[in-house]
Amino acid sequence: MTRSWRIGALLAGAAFAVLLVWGLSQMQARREAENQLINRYQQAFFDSIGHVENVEVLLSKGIASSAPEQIVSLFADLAREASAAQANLTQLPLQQGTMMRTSRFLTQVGDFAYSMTRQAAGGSPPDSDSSDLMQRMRREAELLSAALHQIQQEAGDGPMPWEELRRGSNATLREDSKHIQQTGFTRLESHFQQIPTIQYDGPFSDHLLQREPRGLVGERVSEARAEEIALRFIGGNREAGAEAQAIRRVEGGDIPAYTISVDPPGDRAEVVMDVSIKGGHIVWMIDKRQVGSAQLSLNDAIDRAQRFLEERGFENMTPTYASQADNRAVIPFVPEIDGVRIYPDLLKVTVALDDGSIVGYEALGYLMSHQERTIDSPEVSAADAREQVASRLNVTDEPRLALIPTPTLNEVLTWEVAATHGEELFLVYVNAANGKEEQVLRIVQTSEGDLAL
Amino acid sequence: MRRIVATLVLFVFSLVSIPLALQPAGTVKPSYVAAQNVPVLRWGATGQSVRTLQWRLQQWGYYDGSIDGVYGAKTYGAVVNFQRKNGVWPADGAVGEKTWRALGLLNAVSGGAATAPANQPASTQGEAVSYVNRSDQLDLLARLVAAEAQGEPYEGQVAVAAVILNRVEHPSFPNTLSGVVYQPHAFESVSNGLVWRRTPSDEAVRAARNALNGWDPTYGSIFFWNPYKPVSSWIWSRQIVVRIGNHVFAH
Repeated sequence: MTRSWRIGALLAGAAFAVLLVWGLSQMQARREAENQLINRYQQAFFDSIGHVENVEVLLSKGIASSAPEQIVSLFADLAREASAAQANLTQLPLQQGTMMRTSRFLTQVGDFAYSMTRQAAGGSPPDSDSSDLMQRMRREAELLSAALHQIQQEAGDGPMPWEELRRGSNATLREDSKHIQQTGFTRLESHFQQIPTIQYDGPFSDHLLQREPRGLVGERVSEARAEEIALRFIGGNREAGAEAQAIRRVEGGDIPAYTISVDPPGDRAEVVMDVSIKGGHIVWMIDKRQVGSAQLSLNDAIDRAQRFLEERGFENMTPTYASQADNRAVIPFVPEIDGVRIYPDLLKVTVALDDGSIVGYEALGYLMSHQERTIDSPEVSAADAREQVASRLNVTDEPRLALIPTPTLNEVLTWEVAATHGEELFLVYVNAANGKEEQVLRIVQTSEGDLAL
Repeated sequence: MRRIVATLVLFVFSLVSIPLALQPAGTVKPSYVAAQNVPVLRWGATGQSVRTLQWRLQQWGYYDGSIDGVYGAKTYGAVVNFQRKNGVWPADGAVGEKTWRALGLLNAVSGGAATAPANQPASTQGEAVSYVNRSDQLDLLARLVAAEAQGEPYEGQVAVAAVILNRVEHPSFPNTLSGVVYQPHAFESVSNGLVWRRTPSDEAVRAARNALNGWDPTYGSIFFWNPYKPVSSWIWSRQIVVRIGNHVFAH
């Protein structure tokens, strides 16, 4: 009896020892992993402070400097530092939405610096407006840097308590520091919510973040009317058994719309589309049916898509670089008016390659930018544009006129020159008014189609 | 006495085996029988596909239990009821291809190991070798769609992909796809690793491709959340654009 007790005790002791060793090793592994993570966060935090300091210094130099070459290199540095600061700040483990305005400010500084580089490279020095803006941005950068330093100091000797900051809980934080640390980031954020709007010639400027759809012409349509429009768009009618029903409303976006679900006759799959409340335009359409293996060529598909658009009142639409994947072809179309391709007014048609039916349509870009335009005649001739490109590349096609969007949502008339360099295909856009090169796209051929980069 | 010893040893072993059981589910083979890649669910089945099933049954008013991913008595009753009312024969409570189709979830639950090669971006198989392509982006995006929006209507899956792409373009978020996806605490499925455990279905890949092609059913939204799940109250202060399936999309 006593013997078996002893064996039992021995076994229990051994088991306990095994458990203890295992538990300790687990704890150590967990601590190591945790430290590694905290170190990554600490690094991101320290890096963001460093980059914000550099932003402040570079902005002050930008104000002091006047030589164009100097300005170009200063602002190139500024753009890089601001974007690095933003990248590091957005990798901190804070609650969602904590640093949205702060990182937007840094994006705008970088974007502004980029637009200044372009301007300075074009030979024009900073005007008084941009000097004022630089002064303002510099003050904000000073404040940001000071606030980050303060948050760091309040963490005391150790690393920042990242997990507590996120959860907003305070279990392990010292009473005195927790308040300031938790609110440090939040306070920073609310400061940046209140700063005046920042306007300059760049895509993230405050005046461009709000935009109105230009192509949304027409009267407000009722839900019942939108259902009719949806039915007609896919060529269905109620007599044949098709049914359309509004299933939800899109209210807060650029284009308020009804979402209509169309149930075609028979056992065909549902078709869903958005019909704009103003004007009753189709914003997008998707046919959810399964698509079988491809029978049609891409050219057949382009013909089908073109006919589809013509039947729906879109005239003069020209197909551009189509892509093909998953037995479907996506064909972008742009209007061509008097020989000018209007690239901002892009819409896309998806054709199923099994029977050539239209299974997708997307016109948000078209509805946002389409309008009546008066297009000036070009000052620069096609031959001059060609000449300009031919000095470096082999021009393959006759240049043609194209209206292209700029990053700041303006439009500029250009000559589109297709050219090759070795095996690579490029599209070079030469401004038709002053002969400056506006943009270069490289066409990359992938198995899914051509990609313009 | 010997029994006590045996019990003790068993106890120790069961303790040691806990961490093994806690390993990511992806390393453990799913327990259901796969026919044509569609999970067949019966009484006692567990997992994400059961959750998807319960969610849809609840949405359509057949099920009032909790969405716990366990196929129990309540789920059985709801499935049989659904099968009877929708002419799925036999109404035996087994959820196979026919029932999944009737539920409109056939595409959502199909996929898995056997379809994986089809999900491989075509460019890795095709002849055209290029140094630039979008296949990595497509794969990452499709993974997030699969993890965040499985069982959602198709346009709801495109919408999730579109939100991610909208963030890349937005000044308040990182300006690369990986920066947005891996931003700490941005997506639950990335935080808990689900994004790596689920193979994207063909539908998820198609949704990601659609979004990369520029389709945005959310009109520039940068947030989405499931109102049935606990979310921070802050998020409701955003301007809501549209609600698709189980997700609210907002600026």
